[in-house]
Amino acid sequence: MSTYTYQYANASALKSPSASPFLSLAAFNEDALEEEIHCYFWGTLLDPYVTARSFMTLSRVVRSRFTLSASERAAMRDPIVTAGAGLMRLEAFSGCNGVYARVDMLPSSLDGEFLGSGTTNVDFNEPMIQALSTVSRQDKLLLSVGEKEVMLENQGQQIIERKVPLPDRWIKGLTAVQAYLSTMESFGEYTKVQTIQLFQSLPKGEISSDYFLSYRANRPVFTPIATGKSLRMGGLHRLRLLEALVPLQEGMEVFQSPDEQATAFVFKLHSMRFLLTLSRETKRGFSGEGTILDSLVESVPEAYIQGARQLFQTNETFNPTLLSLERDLDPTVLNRVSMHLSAMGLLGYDVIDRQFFYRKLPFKPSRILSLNPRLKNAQTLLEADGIEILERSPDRTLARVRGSHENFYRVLIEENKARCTCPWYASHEGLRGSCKHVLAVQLALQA
Amino acid sequence: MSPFETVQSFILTNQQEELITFLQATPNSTHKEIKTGVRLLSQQLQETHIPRDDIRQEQCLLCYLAAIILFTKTELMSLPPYLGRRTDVESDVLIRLFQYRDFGPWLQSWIMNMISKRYWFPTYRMLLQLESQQLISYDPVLFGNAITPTNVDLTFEEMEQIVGTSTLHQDVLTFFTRVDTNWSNYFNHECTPFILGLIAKNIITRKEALWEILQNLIRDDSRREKLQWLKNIGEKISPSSEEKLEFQAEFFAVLTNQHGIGINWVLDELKPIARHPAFLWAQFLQALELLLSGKHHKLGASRALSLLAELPLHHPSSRVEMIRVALPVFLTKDAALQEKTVQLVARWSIPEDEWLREELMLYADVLPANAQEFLGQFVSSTPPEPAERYVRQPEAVLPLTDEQRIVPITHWDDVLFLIGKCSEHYEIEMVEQLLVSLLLIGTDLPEDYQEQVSVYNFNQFIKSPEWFIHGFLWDWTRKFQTSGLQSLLDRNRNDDFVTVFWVRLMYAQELAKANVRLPLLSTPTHQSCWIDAEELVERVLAYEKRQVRINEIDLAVALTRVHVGYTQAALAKAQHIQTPNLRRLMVYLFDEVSNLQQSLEELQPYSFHQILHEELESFTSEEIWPMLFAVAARTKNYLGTYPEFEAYPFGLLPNVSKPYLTSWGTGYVYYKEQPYSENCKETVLPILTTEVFPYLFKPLVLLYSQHYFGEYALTHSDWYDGKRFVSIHGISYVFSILPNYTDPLCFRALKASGQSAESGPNESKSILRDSMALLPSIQTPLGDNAHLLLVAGFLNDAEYNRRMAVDVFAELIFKRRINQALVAQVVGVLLVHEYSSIQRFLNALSSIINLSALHNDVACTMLEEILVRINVEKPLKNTKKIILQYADLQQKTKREIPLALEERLQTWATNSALKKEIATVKRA
Repeated sequence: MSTYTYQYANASALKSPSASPFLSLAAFNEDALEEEIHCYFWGTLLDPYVTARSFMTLSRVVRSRFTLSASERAAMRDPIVTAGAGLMRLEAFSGCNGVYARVDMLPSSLDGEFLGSGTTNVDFNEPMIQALSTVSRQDKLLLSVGEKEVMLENQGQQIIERKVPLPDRWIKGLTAVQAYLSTMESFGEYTKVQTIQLFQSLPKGEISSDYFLSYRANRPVFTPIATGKSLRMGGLHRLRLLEALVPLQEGMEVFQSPDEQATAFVFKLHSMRFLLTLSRETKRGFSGEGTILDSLVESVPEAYIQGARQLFQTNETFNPTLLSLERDLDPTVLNRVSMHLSAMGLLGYDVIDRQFFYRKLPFKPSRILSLNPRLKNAQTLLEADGIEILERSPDRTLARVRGSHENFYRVLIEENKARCTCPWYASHEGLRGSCKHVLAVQLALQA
Repeated sequence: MSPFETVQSFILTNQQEELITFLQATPNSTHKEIKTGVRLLSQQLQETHIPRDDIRQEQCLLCYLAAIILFTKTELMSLPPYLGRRTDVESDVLIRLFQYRDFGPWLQSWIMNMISKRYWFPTYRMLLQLESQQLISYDPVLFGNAITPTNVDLTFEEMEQIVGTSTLHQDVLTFFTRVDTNWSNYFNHECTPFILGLIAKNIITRKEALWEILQNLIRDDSRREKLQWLKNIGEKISPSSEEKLEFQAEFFAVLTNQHGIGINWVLDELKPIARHPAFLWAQFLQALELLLSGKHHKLGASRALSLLAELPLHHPSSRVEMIRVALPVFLTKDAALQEKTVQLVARWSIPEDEWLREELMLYADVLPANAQEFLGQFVSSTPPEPAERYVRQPEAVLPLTDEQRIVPITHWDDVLFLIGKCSEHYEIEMVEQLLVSLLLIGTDLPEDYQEQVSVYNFNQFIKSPEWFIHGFLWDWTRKFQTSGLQSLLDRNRNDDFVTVFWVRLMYAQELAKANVRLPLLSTPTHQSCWIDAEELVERVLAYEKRQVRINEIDLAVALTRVHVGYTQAALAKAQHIQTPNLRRLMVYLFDEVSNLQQSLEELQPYSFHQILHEELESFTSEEIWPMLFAVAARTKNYLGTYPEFEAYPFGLLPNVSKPYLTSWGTGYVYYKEQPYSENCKETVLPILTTEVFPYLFKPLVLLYSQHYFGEYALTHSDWYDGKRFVSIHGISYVFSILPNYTDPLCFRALKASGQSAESGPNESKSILRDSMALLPSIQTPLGDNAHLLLVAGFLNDAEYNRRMAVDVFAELIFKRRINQALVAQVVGVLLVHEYSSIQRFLNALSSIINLSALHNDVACTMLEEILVRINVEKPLKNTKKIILQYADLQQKTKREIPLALEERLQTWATNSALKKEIATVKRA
């Protein structure tokens, strides 16, 4: 865990200088290369009430925690905004990393000017969030992300500094969740009334057991028993974060990853969308999931990564399949490239439009590159000659891998399915990504 | 005397002035020695508990003083807890020290550090002094933290004097946000007078207080006690209409949060100003959307509907939007709220409201029955679905399917990883699959198999059943040269069911050692723990062919698991069994017309297979073969009566000659929620009684005979009238309750879940939950006890259990597997005895209403059964809610009102509290 210092030129605030309120979101980017941008957006919100409620819900996500102690949640981590290509996306995690939320402000929700494109932290302070609760449908609300005339207005003013412990897992979660989103399949689409009914079936209190999204008399319902077509999820009470938006939604779509390890709920809010993604269980954060590690084992030419960074603008869509067709590139390589970019915090995934979008997390690249210790451990294992390949054929590899206590694990890779005799595999059976022993064997096979 | 000895003497004799003077004069070179000594002394002083008036308390304080004088800034920042025990140094002494030490700006961070570690909490007065001495600078967090009723250390008069020249005013206002405790006495007796005093002295204004209250209610992240306090203060301030109109937006914002306390107060406050021309009705309606589309604040929703009903009178243009906002209330399934909404819409809609027709279409399947009457012009006139009566379908044992089949693993790679899974997770079917896999693979193992499995951890030998497989694997990896499994049996800890499992594993070891490559007879072939009849006979034939000695315990388990639905092929093959006793047993089991008495008489003399163990004496019996027939008989017909076994001593045990006989609702138990509290109200609970004594167990083992899992509860229990029943240990008792049908097991789950135990219905919720979860997948007919179990869940005080019960109930209604008359009868009796609140029952029932005509029919039956049992003279609380719900369902299902109920309704028609609801029924 390292300390992260937000340095905002001023505090975010909802100001009411005249008849039109003005929502000013203070922005800060740790990456020096991005510091040149002072204002990302300046304009009018076309649906201020829904926007205000979405921001409030996002702040609830940020403030929420489902497994951490009070002291651990004391430091609020601000959301990040990606502005560009005519839209804005605000992303945030709960303190425990098990809930990921994103507000997609589509072009039809904004009437203004994108003065810069990129990704930045925005200050979500308590007074500003409380003030948002008084925004009504009748208001005309101006919004700025960053300061339009920052240098002139703020010279000599005190910079707002807030130091927070920023665990690596927070950034890691931001990268890992995209991998889940990209594999998700739609489970069901519900009307406004069905969605209200579904949320009425949310039980009270903290729920430790699994619940199922199922159908009863053709109506979606949350139930403790699975019947027919059902979707299993843990920590259902986390979904209550969305309750404030239930009356405002016009429909909802639910997605789940094929391995049932992540579930996403997308509220359609007129010209906006609110995505809430839940991890498999309350005690599991997205950062601990190693689903993308297998993709990272196979290296990707640095030129591809650099090329992608130069090719795309913020929020521009990144469709590996289309790109491979357009540029006559190997689709499997491009898929790997997308996973690499995602793991570096350079891609997000839009589950409704089913495509990646380019965005760069507002943290120093060194923070992001230091992630994935399991992969590093696998590399160390390989370098220490801890791998002995016992059998190798096109469809079967058997290896003996040295464990931490001078014992030896067996790794068996058959038809893209890898198994290991280590306790991690026995506990999770690959659902939380491959163990370091499997990764080490995969690295050895590449060498 | 060394410098420290001098310091020590000052501390021990409590000479504060002398200590300070001495320490301030000591040279730096002596500081290290003194500091070490002070640390040690402080630790020694606190080695034992120090009473309040003990002199050591003061000595601890002096140690702390010495630390402030001598410790470096770094040392002070990480002051150990033993030095922070007493920190209440007088403020003028502390200020003197702070001046002497010249802490500079660092002092502020040290104070914050001390506060965060809860070592020291400076008073507001002291902070003001430090600020005036320019020792610290103003910090809103620091000063705000010192504002509490007990720590401000200023009288109201003193506050009045300094409010204009200090930051007191803004610091006091932060108190509303910072104060957070669950101690309601503190709020009521300390905080309320404090705030009211501040307002009275004009230190803060009413408006400011009101603003803070509203802001904190909007935040909605406080404890219930604080929300209640904020509401109380708000009520005491009693804002004027002008103030309320000024803060309308904030009042409305409270309505969008999730807590009923704030919502109810705000609605009360808004009621008088709702008619004012300056009332912002559009924003008000907007704020109500969440409240009216949720289901958790029924009181708030009801109050809001009352307010809405009058809104168009004063703000005519609000009419359409008001109706639109109210419509989602139809989704709440609360009859009273729905009734109110129907009235409201009917009152304010006009025939030209074409949009309303479309809107109501969205709610078509949840509209109450009287919507047609009041909103006929907007509601589709298509005839409603024909009412359907619920009839339970006769049940048979469901056939086994290929999807249920458990396939043994024969490839070593797969066995290796299965061992890994079993080392981390305990699931009975996985363990059974591993057992059969190891038996079938025999000695066909890789040379290095021991090294391969050595990474698994089997050495956690704990004497509970989930670890037995570890014992087995431990011995298996050592070629059975060890006795890991042998050592795990503990009859004091493990009951007889567990012992059965242990015996099977020991027997499996024998088979593995002999490398016979046969599965145990009791290995399940299908989920959940079923054995296909034909395959069982084939196994017996294979055992005979290989001359393998059968273990009778294993055979008994196999008999309980046999699926007896389709047995013709099994019967044909059973004729080929050579061993006469075995053949007779199998033929008796699979032949519908075989004669039990004759089979018993023809039994040939036998010996039995024994697992030798010092603790296993009672686990054998000379009557073992008649017992096996008893198990087979019960498997064949779980409700049969078998006088043939009365000739044997074991035949007197429950469930041998006669089936379990249970009844319900005939006994009472006095139950106190807090048994040791003198003032706790005693409740009389109707209990479920039986001729069979209670046998407490965990659920999974109950519902399928061989699901050994989890902890094992008592083997005996106190019965409700105080008579102690002691369980009968031994194989004969185990055999009497092994048969694989569910009703006795449901009964035991019901008992174990505390429905009749002295501890009341709160005990062992998980037993109830886990048992209910299995009901839909049970392949045998559901008996009375399964229904009682469901009802117990239906009325349980844990919401999760109620949800589980209702969902299982709904599912079983779809499958027509429920005896609705029995459920309705039991619910009726229990509710009338106030076993559960009516509101709780109605909330649970609302989940099945409108699911289908069948569900409505069942729900209506249940309400009838409750209504006919309610005391006519003294109806229960919320009886009118039942009547309202019944009126709606009766109209939908077109059920005839039973005569007994009609008479009762006639009587209630004159009851002032119920006549309105009775009129609704009559109108329906």
